[in-house]
Amino acid sequence: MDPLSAPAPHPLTPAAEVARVLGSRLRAAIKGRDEVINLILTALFADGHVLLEDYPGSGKTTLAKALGESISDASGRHIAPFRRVQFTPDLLPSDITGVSIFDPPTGRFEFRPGPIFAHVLLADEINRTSPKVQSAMLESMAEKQVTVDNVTYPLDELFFVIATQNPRDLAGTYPLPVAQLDRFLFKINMDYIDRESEVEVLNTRRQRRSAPPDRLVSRDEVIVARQLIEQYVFVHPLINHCLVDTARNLRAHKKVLQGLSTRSLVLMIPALQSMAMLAGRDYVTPQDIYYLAPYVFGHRLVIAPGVGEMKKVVHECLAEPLEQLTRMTLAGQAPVATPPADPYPAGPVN
Amino acid sequence: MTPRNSIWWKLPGVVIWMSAVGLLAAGYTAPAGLLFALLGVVTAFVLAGALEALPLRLGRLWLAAAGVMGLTVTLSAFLRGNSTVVGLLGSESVYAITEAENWFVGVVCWLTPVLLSARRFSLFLTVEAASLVGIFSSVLAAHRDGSIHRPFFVTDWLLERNYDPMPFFLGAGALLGILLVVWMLSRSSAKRTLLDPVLLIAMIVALFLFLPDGKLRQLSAFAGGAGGSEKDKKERPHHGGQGGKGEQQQDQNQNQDPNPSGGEGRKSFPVAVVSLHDDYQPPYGTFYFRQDTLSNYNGRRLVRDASGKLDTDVGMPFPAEPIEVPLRDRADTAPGGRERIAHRLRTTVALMTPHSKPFGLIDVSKLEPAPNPDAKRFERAYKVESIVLDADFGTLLNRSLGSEKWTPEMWQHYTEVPEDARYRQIAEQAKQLLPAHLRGIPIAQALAIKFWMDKNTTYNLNVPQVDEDADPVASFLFGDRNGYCVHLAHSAVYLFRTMGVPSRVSIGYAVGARQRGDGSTILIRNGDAHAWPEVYVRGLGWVVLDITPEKVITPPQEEKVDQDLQRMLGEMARQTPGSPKEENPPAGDGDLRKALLEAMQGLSKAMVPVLLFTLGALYLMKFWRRCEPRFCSPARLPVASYRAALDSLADLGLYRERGTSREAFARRVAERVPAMTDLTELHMRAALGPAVPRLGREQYLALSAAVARQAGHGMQWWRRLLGLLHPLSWWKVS
Repeated sequence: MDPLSAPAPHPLTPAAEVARVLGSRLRAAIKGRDEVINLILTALFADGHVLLEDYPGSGKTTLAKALGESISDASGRHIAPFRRVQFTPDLLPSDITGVSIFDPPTGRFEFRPGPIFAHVLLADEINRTSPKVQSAMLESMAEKQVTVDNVTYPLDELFFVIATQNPRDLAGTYPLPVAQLDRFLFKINMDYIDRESEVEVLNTRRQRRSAPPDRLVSRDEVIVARQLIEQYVFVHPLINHCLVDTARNLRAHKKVLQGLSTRSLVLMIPALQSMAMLAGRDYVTPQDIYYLAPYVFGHRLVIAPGVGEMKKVVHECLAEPLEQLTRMTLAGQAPVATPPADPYPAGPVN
Repeated sequence: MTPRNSIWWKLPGVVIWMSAVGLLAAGYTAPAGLLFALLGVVTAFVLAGALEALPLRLGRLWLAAAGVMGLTVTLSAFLRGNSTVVGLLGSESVYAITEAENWFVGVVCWLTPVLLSARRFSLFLTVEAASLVGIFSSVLAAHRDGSIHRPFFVTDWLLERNYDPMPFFLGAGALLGILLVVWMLSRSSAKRTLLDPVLLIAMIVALFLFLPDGKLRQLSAFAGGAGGSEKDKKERPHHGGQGGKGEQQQDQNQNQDPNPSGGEGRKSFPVAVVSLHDDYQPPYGTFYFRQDTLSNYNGRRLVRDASGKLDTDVGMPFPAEPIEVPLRDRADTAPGGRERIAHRLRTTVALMTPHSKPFGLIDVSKLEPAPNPDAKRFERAYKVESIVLDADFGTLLNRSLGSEKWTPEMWQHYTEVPEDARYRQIAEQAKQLLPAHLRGIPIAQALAIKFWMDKNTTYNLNVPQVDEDADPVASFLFGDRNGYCVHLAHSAVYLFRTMGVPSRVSIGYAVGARQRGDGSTILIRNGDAHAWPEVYVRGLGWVVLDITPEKVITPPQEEKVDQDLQRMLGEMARQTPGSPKEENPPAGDGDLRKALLEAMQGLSKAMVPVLLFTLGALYLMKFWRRCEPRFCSPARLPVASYRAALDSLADLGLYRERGTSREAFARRVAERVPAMTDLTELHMRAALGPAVPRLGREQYLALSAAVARQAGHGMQWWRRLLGLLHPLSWWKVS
């Protein structure tokens, strides 16, 4: 039944293989975080970045490191698989982007790349640094390039950022505004892991340090997987209708001060596709929307003070479009998305 | 999104309940009760809203409500039964207070738990709906059966204005129906469907179709206390045969008709309507209707004369043809004399409850049959010609007692008394009241006894029941002299006879003349049953010499007769069966009833095929959905087979809840129905995925059959059959 394991090789098979290898390596490195691993892989394949909100010592460095080290680079360029930057108030933009240094033998300025030139970058406590560093960082995340001394240096295509911030200890921080949070595809709130997993973490600490179970994944494989997913995971027009209706509901909601941007909906599509692929499907279902919506929409909304549950608001606005979508599937032939004829065509009025 | 628990969503419920309770209360209680019943509805809704948030145990709530209800009933019974309280506050205010209390607490104690329960269990929604349907249809049925306790205001104002109430009724019904549907829909969660209104309509139709006509009237008559009925007479001949404790005496004014029934918790209901053909004001201030008479002292008590030779003015059967009553010596109806002593008066009696014998305004001289004006409402009707007295007590003194035609045996018959010296003592005592020159006149002696008894007895309904062996009359007269009309009448007769005055006890109804109002109709209610002493005055015949004690312990519950009801019943009684409507415009209630019935019959005749057709269509739809995968196009195959599988799960009560995804539903039933997971995936892929279904028809059929088989596995056969027969199970599938 599984279309990806059907006899005829499915076009998505290579992507599924990459996801499997990465998943098994990450799961071996860190216990009890399967959901976070799944979301991070989704973001990786959707070409997005992740903001983790959790406490110190929850294993996010381990996670990011394991991910970075699972990806080998055969291109010959010297790009580190993994870098970690601890953001502090006195950090400067050049500390992460790199600087041009005068080289006496050649008599020229030579660019020394900063830690941002990596496949996987862990930006630790991103809210502790000054806004100019934040904006440099976030801009490079969006543009995948850095500009130093008027020269633009492209980052690797696989550039993937896992940023963290501590939700509790807020003294002396520069909280990210919503516009900058928008650069992150997901914001994930992590909680303490369950008892069995924690015990297992203690039991297996030795083996985990030594032997990674599976092969490495090449950088190119990941890039190809991204393209395959975008191309071969089917998004039904009804899914788009559902997303737009949800956004409209959120904008109209009494307790939502600022609703969703259109960009967030656009970003949602690759996330849905990746999610579907990870679930072994080549099409997006309402279930994917239901699952991903809080992670994708949550940090892009401004909710009225006093409303505790962001997730509740999102699901509230999601319920009716999703139900409608679910019912449509029984209505027989689902309507093909032909845009309605414009009753007032643009043109000279007189 | 409108929050469904806001006040606006509750409004239809409040309106519906208020109209239902209002209609019900209007038929049964005083204005105070009605007002407080409506208040109770509002209170119940507010209370239910407030209690909803609390984690209450429903069982305890019901228990508490029952407890409060019981306390209230006890309290109001105590208030009504307690003579001190009644004396202090006055009977009318006690009645109003207790009615208000009963209705308010009753409504609150019933409605609050029902509302609260209905919010938690859907079963109670049906209970709530059933009580609503019960109230509305009982009101309608009361109108249909012309029963007494119905809210007349619903139709009367229309009838008085000469309109046909039919369109009004239908309009109100349609409005109520719409309100009900809106209400049901407004409160429906995902579980509730259109099923509720359908159920309601079915219940209403069933009620009208299957409730036997006329049965309600009998039921309500018996529920109301059955005071003046045959049954009571047979059970208690001892007390003179009328209505047991229900008898009463007039109060001091002698023209009131106190109704003692309130204290006993009995409702007053009409037993007959008497129409006077001419104006007449009785000299006693009371209309006496004689039905039977007790004159024969059998050594133990007074009984009916069994020989048939005496007391010929009573005991006739209902007239099939005119009966001349062999009367006696009431001489004179001739207007020629100086002063008219008596005259002839014609009346028509329409009985509303069964009676064994006819009765008539004293003294009956002729009985004639009369057509029953409305067989549904009246038992029978007959015409009476009476010779009614005009002269007052003053003229009695000149007359002698007994008849010159009487034989010694007859004298003996009418003056026979128990051998007890104490009667003589009292009689002598009473005689001392008279001035010396009157002491020798027998009729003055009789009057002296009446006055003595008026002074020395106490009217009291709450007399403990004496055992069979003791003579109730002796224990009354030589005891505390607390008693009601039966005691008074017997004692008076014994005392009269001790003085040699021919006398007897008559039984029937007594209605205060004031009660008639300015109409020509006298409404006789069960509480009007009465027994009174009579003496035979030469030239006049049997003359009532009723005892009216000055001291009254049990204040008679004064329930004023409803003048509108009296007038209306009179109109109905006067109507002849065949009389065209134009002649009696306001009397259209019979027509209304008939029209209602016809409409209901027509409706039901139309409903049956409609219902059958609907049912057939539903089954057809169900059947088609189930076997569509066999016939549909390949493109539709995934949808059709998935829907068939959903239907078969719905038969067993498994539905996808609103707001959950198909995958989540498949996971929920996966343990019992593993095949559902695969089928769901196929369906979703076909609906939202990129490619056409890759499986053949057989595989789809096999999968949906597997779903049905796995779902039914381990279920009782009757549960499966029930699901299969449910015509609407597919309705909620989505």
